[in-house]
Amino acid sequence: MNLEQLITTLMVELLQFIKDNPDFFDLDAKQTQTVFDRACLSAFSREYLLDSDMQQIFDDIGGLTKYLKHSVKLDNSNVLAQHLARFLCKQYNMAVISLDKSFANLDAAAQAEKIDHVFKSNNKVTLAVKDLFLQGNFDSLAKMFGTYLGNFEDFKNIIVQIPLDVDASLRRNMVTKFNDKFGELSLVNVQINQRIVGGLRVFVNGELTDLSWHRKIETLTKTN
Amino acid sequence: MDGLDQLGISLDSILIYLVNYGVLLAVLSYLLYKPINNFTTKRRETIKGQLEQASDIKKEFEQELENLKAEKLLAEKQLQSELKSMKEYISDKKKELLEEIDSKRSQMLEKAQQEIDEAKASMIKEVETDLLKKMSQIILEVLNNKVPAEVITESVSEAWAEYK
Repeated sequence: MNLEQLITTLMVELLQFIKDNPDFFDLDAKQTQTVFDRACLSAFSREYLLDSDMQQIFDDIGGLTKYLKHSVKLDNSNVLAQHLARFLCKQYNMAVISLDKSFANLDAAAQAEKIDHVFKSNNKVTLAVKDLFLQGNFDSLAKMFGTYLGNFEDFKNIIVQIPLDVDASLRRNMVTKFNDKFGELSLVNVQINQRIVGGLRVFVNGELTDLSWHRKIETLTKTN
Repeated sequence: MDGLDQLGISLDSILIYLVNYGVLLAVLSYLLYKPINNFTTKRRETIKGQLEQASDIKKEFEQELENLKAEKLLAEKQLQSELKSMKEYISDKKKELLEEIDSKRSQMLEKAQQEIDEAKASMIKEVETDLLKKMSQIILEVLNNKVPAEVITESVSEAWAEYK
């Protein structure tokens, strides 16, 4: 599973839903909820459908298809692409919060069990996301997502380097703070780097804020 | 009178002689006096003219001499002045040259001192860098291996709080 397959899954789910419910945009709120539940639609598709209309959906899917096939730059008016960007950041950050670094050393079954705890739904989209995390590591996924997210000006690629793994609450705190500071298009990748000894380093789009012990020791030994 | 006759002197002869002399004198005066007089007069005027010319030439020479003396004096003065200015120029040049030599010597000394200082600083810096690098390696080695995990975890929390 790669990002193109995930996007294709999302588009198929949307088109299938539109095909099954051609009068969807004429329904009231209660009927809409009922249709959503009946179709076992992913949260992503629900949010997107509520944020668009029929014409918008076809335009967005057309634009996204061109991007996938011919690497045509995504249009700013493409609501689906923007939803997708936020969705990818959200999924990735959720995994960063919930999965500690021991996840990489688990066997496939244990990893699948852990992933099921993080992404609880079992719709097609969630299954595709689960596959992504089971088949790739955090760094490769960050790179893959980053390539797509680089199409958006307000995207922030954030790397936090820490000397050893920290608990989920601190990781959650980090993700929350970065989302508050830089918006929803923030991809937070927490990396273990024992060379920094203590403290942490933060790269925001390559710009470094170094609060590591390594830097402090180097500064100390340079200045004295 | 007889005595004169006895002596062979006759008054008549004397008279004749006197008349002859007178006639001769008159003829000579008439024939020779004027030309001789004219000649002498011309001669005198010529000599006078030559003397005046000589006097003029003498005056000219004297004037020329005076001029030459004045020119010589002026030339001497100019020469003295040139000599003086030349001496002053040489003195100034000598002074400039000495100052330049002094300046160059100072610069060379300064440069040499600077090079010595730089070499010294570089050596000190090299040793310091080496020492600090070793210190840094030792500290990092100690921190990596001896600091408990809780302390490091706490350091991450503290750094995060600082970053926020």
